[in-house]
Amino acid sequence: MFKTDDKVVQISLAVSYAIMAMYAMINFFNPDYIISNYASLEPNNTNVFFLIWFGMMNFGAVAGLIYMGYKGLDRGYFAYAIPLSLLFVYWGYSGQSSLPADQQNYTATVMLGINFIALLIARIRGMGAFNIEKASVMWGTEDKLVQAILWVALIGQAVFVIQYVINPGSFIEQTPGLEMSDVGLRFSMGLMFFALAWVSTLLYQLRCGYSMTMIVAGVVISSLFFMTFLNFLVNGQVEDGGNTQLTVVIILNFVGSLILFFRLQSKH
Amino acid sequence: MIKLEDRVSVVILCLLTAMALFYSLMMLGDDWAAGFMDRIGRPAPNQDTLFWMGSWGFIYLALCVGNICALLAPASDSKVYFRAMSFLAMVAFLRVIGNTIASGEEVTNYVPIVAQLLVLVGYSIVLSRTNSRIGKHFGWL
Repeated sequence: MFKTDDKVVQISLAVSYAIMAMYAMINFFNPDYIISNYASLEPNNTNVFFLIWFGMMNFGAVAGLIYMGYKGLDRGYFAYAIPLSLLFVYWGYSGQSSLPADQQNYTATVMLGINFIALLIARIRGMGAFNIEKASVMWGTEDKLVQAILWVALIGQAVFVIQYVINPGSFIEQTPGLEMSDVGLRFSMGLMFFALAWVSTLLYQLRCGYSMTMIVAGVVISSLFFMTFLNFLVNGQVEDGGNTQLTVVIILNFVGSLILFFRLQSKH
Repeated sequence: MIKLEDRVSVVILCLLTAMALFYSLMMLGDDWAAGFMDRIGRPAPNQDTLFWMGSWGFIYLALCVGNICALLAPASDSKVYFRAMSFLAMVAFLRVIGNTIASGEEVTNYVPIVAQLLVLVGYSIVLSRTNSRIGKHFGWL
């Protein structure tokens, strides 16, 4: 498993897998459970929307871990997951510590902390030094279409981060049906952290070559987003035309990640 | 990475996977499941119905993963899966047709029937093109 005999690496990634899979399942399939366990979360559509979003992102991490289980460790995955888990430890801690003592719940923060340590151990023991070896060509492939899509992805994620920095509430303001609140803004920060982690791994891939693990994770995430979007659409739950930017991003993400996957899969 | 040798079968399985994922999410979300029942002209589901629809959602999700596994393996490794799925698709299609006739009500939405037929045709083509068929029944598919 993971193309290594090192039991510590295998156990560390199994721990990470268990945590990610658990939160993916709960957030995506049963957000009400999370809401009932956190006093700061009101049972409203905004919180459910963001929890489902987080669940889909966690499924991407699960897919990446499964892919590495068969194909071996991949630096591109760690360039995404390690910064992300660290950012989410901060996210969880800062969110809970700002609440009154009787409302605090650090379960997720502790679990994300364990996930961060597990990933760090797996990365250091399994892949050695944090060196960044330059690939022979940009993005590690001469396929112009793949390069273009990866550039668009990098710029898109960077723009999302910049949008958040300029106005943290812009995503909620642009999305009909979402309510502005402190919790909503905190979730928006979480979305920005996801984008930041994608920027991190895409910059790494720009120099060191694309990561098939992250492309598989991207296909899983974008497929879930697209199918969820279609279900919202056919059920008439897209209010006032929805968030145009989000709609365009979901469609482009789905098409782009499929193109990346099918153009590169034969080499892996 | 995709080990299934036949390109047409790959395309069909990808489409069936997308369809299974869509239906899976629809059955798993209570609001979406209720909306689906409304669109096909059925009464609003109660908690028990939603529970069973959710169970079907997980079965669809498992079939979605099964299709992905079949894409990642040579056709010779997936023959039993293709046979089982073709049989399942045929039974499901006959059941949809039977239920529609038995209800005696005017059909307001043909999408589920057409979708089920397409799934049957899709799996039958995959079955034939991957040489997974036992005998030559329905060889025209």
